[in-house]
Amino acid sequence: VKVIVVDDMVLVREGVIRILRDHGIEVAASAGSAESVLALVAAHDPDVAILDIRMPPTFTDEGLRAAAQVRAAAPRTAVLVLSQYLDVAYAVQLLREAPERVGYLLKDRIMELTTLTDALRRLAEGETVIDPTIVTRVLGRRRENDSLAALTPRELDVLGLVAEGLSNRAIAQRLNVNERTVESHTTQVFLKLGLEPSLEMHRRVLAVLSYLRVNN
Amino acid sequence: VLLRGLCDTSQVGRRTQGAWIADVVAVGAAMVVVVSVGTQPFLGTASGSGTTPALRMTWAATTAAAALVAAAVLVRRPPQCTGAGLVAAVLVAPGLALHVGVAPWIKVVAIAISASLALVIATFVARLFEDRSRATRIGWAVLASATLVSVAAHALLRDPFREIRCAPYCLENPLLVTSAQGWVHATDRVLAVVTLGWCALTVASVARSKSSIWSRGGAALATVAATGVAVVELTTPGASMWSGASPTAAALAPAALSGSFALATVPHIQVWRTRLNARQLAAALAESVSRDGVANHLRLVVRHPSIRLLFPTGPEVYLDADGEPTVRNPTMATTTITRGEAQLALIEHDEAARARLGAALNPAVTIAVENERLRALAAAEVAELRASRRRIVERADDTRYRLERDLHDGAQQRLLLLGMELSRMATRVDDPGRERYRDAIGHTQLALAELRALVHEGRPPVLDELGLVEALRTLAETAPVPLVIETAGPAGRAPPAVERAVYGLARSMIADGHAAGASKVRVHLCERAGIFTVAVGHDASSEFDPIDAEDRVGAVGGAFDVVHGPTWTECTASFP
Repeated sequence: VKVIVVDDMVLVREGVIRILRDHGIEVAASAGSAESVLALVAAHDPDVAILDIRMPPTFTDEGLRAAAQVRAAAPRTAVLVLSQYLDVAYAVQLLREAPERVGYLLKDRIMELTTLTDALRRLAEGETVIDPTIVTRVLGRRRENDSLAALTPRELDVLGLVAEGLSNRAIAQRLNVNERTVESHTTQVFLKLGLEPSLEMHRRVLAVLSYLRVNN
Repeated sequence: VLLRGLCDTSQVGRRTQGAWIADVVAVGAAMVVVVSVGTQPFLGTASGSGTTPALRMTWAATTAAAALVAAAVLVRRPPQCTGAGLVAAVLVAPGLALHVGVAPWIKVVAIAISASLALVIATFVARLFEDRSRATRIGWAVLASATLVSVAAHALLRDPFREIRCAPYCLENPLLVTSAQGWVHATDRVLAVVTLGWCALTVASVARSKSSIWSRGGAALATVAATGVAVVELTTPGASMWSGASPTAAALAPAALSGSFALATVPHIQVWRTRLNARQLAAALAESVSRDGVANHLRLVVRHPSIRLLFPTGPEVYLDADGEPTVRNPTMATTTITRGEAQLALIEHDEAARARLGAALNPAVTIAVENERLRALAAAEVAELRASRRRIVERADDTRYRLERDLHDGAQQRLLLLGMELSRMATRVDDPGRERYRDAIGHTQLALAELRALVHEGRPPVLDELGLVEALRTLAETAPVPLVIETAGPAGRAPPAVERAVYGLARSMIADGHAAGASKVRVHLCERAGIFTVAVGHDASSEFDPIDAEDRVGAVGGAFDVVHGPTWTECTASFP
């Protein structure tokens, strides 16, 4: 997997590069601001661009905007946004602006090598990645009329994994079940929640996250 | 003019064109009354005998004028005058018809006219003094009625045919009730005495008040003239100037008496009008709590739109009626309103309006100006306090924001580096040691999570970047009670300080609802007609006292209210 790393904090950027190289991931280039991202992508054609969400000049959501630009300019390059924000709002915004092959991980994950490398691999394979902590948060939210109460525990598991961006095949592997079983579970869950069941994989992540976020 | 003045209860300065026409008509009518009464003997003399068409026309004009006065009173419609004015009008109208062709019962009508006019006068006079004591009021009413009655009696009892030297000017008196020559002399004297008394009263009151030299001179002249007539009348037994041998004296006596009476009345009318204006202005000012009320009233009274009130707070430093700082227009003239040494206000006006403005200023205006000055000072102080409160909140926010940024850029980065190094080292050691590294990494992650919670708690980045609704949804993810978010109206962004205030309110209501055992917390956001209203409530009873939220709402100029219901608690905040 070939990546580029863009982060304005030098020490963290160097640390991430070191840790990725330790694990045989090729870091083609790195930068300290969002402005040079497109040029780097064009020059190195990476599998994944790793972007910090907060970068100069405004230190708000430059990373999200750069992600959308990269996805639009280079469809082959996936984008992983590293964020210090737990808010689903940012993940939803990212998915809205760049629905395919994007990832949103908490920055803390850079100390969990397997999670990070796993996410890079999944992105390179064309999946979507949403941080499990965020999914847990939004799933565990208190609801006034809990529509999730109608789901079985297994269906809840499936819902959570769908929200994390896993494909049906990946969910089947994770849960050690048949892929067709997962398909029937997802259909059930979507029916129960009143969501469009036939959404393709990327769209359904956004649909589920938006649903969990807004529905009371 | 007297009746018009007395009945003028219209708001000072709101005279319509119609009112001015009514004034002119009343003045004209009163002049016709005076002129026709005054010329009566000479008209008779000129024609030589009996009732002439000219005389009839004079009397018709007199009655018409009286009717017009009554009508003017009616048109003005002050409640206290309406009844009396109506009576006068009803009685005068047939009198007018009857004067043109003399009928035998004309005398009845004449008596009725006199009685009704006496009634009207008495009502007006009583009304004039309505803010005085009851005794004063009755006294003045009696005096006025007595004057009128004696004038009327004089007219009704005088029989010109009984005059000693009737021939040159003997006239038919259409008002004659009974021919009682003895009574005529008595009424002559009464008239002289009443006029003298009236003049004396005027002199006394003019001497007490700060009247102009013209008023004083007029009153003195009237008194001298009335005294002359009274002395002659009282010291000539069995006869009077009116019916004496000299036609000059006969013409002079009524002229002197009516002239004296009129001269003596002028200062009173001036005083009454001033008092009436002051009273009406005071009433209008009491009614009007609108801002800039004094300047508005002065603009209307003076009929000049240039008038502006400035309240000095220092050398060349002024506040307007709203308490906003303002500057003087150097091209405008000014009039200063002071109380003692203190300069209360500066009235900025066009030079042309100076005279009329000066006349409109009185103690009531000064009091109103002083009130308005206090209001302006208070408003300025409130504005300053509000600005200061906003600055305090903003400074606290900024300090906190900077602290967060520093933490983020510093401590968080170090912790991330520490975690990364630990994880790199973990891969290089054997299984037993690796477990300890895993623990250390776990602690590092916890430290990061706690740091994040601390940094983002009060002012989460999502609030600044994505807005209140997104921030509330994020808040709902970790809220211990369900948070229901409802929005109505356009979903635009509110100013950051307002969003922070609402967010803080929602957070404290969630904490309170959780503690009080509420099953949900509801946030309702509504923007309508430029007013952003927020209602945050939960379905439990509590003694919630959100001082912090209240401060924040107040600091951005919002209104805050909290209601403690038996099974619910709700806070509302609205922002212009």
